[in-house]
Amino acid sequence: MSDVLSILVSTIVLGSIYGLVALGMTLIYGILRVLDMSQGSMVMIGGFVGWAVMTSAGLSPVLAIAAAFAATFCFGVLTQVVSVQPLIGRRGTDFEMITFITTFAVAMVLANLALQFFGPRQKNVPELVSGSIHLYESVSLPYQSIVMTAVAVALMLAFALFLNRSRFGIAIRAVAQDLDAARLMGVPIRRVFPLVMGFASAIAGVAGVFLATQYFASPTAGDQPLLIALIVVIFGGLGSLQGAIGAAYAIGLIQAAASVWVSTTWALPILYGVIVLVLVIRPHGIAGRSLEARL
Amino acid sequence: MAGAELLEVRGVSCGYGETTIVRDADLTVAAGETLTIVGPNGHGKSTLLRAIAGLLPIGAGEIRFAGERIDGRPAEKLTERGLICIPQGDHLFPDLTVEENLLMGAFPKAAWRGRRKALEQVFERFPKLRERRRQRARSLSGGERRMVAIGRGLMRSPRLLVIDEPSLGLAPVIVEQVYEIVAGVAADPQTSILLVEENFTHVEEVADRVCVLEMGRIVRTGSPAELADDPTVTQSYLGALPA
Repeated sequence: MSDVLSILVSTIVLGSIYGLVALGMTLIYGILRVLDMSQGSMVMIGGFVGWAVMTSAGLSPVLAIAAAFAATFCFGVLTQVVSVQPLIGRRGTDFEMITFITTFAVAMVLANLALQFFGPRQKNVPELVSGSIHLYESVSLPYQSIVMTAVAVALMLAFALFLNRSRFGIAIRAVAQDLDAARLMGVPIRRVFPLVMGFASAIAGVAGVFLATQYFASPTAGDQPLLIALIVVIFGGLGSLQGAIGAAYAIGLIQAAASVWVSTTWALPILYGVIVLVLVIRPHGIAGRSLEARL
Repeated sequence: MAGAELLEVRGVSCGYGETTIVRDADLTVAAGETLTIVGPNGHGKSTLLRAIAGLLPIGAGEIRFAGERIDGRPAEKLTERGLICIPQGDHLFPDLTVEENLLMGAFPKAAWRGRRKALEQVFERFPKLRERRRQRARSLSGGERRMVAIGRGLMRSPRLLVIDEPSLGLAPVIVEQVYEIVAGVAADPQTSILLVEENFTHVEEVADRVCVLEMGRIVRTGSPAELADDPTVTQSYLGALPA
């Protein structure tokens, strides 16, 4: 009973954080057809902003989240303008492969800049809130987890609402489905692309603050989340939002169950094993749509 | 006279990459007029329309809309001025609902404010679409898709509606319905229409004037009655080379 409960608790927490990073990657892939390797850097930058605001400046966690959102939004827009926009519409190039490499290059530059400015040592970031609720026997639920989950779910819902109800949100989905038609409707695609990448990066930045409070802020803090996000996005069926969020929780569940029932050492190997198995059986991921699926 | 022209195309050449498809095309559409371009498939009708709509850069000549040069302006700017294009093959957003597709027709801010009223008017014109408003566009029949495409074009009172082959791929009965709608729009003096069609059959019902585009050149312009009797027009379709 207490096993099941603690698995559930970590599934929700892990799944929400993975969901945030995967949501951004899915948006970017669905709209720009870019597998954005700089999303891990946004997690890393978010962590450092969180550290700078909370530890160095001693300000409130709310401010830290807001600052991380703003900073990574700017970095996302910049990354798009520098490494993706110039390649749009180039003839004779494989856009997906080239942007995969250029965004990876941006990630390397950002990681080394972080190393230069902050040094290689891991930085401790305090909890957003302290204290916890005692649930059952040895299982307790930290307030921190509740806050992270609530913010993550709120962000995901806000994005779903934005994409489904607002003028610009519907236009973003329209751009993903038929670029020429969207232009004929008057959608300013030159502004949509950087904005999408800015918002997606900003979500990853918020996830970065959360992850930094669980672990550390460091120049390599984004590597593991990037890998997980890639897995989540592929597992969910590239470009499918519901698929990605579902996959995020599924992967959180596998990881949590393996940690509790086997051991934390085996959690990741078991996770990767399950994913390989699932992808061999369903190559298009659990959402089951083909790679052509659009938002 | 010249002041009344809404669209002026002068000496326009355009194509894809190294290949020039349309050569030295001249045409005008007056305010409230319906002009139709007819011609065999693959002779440059859609290419010319794409250039006018701002989707394709032109190699030579100039295009004016309401007196202003518009060649070189991107499509997304032209639509705000009331030059609205219904592309060939509809180009609906397949995973958006019918209603969302129509709403995208009102994307510019000014039109967005009046979107509820515009939506209501489109639903009055196409009652079938009201029933289907929550369905994804990909699940519609060909005729319903065409209605969404036309409805989307009417969501922001167009000054010039550019329609590329509205009869393409539709059953004859549906084509009749589509042309009834086009005729309804053509009757509105506020709206000019530039229509492209491969064949002549329905064009006479709506067109004030007709251009024949052959091998990338406009070879004849006249009233539908004049052109229907013209032997050179018949030749275009039979593939005979002009002497």
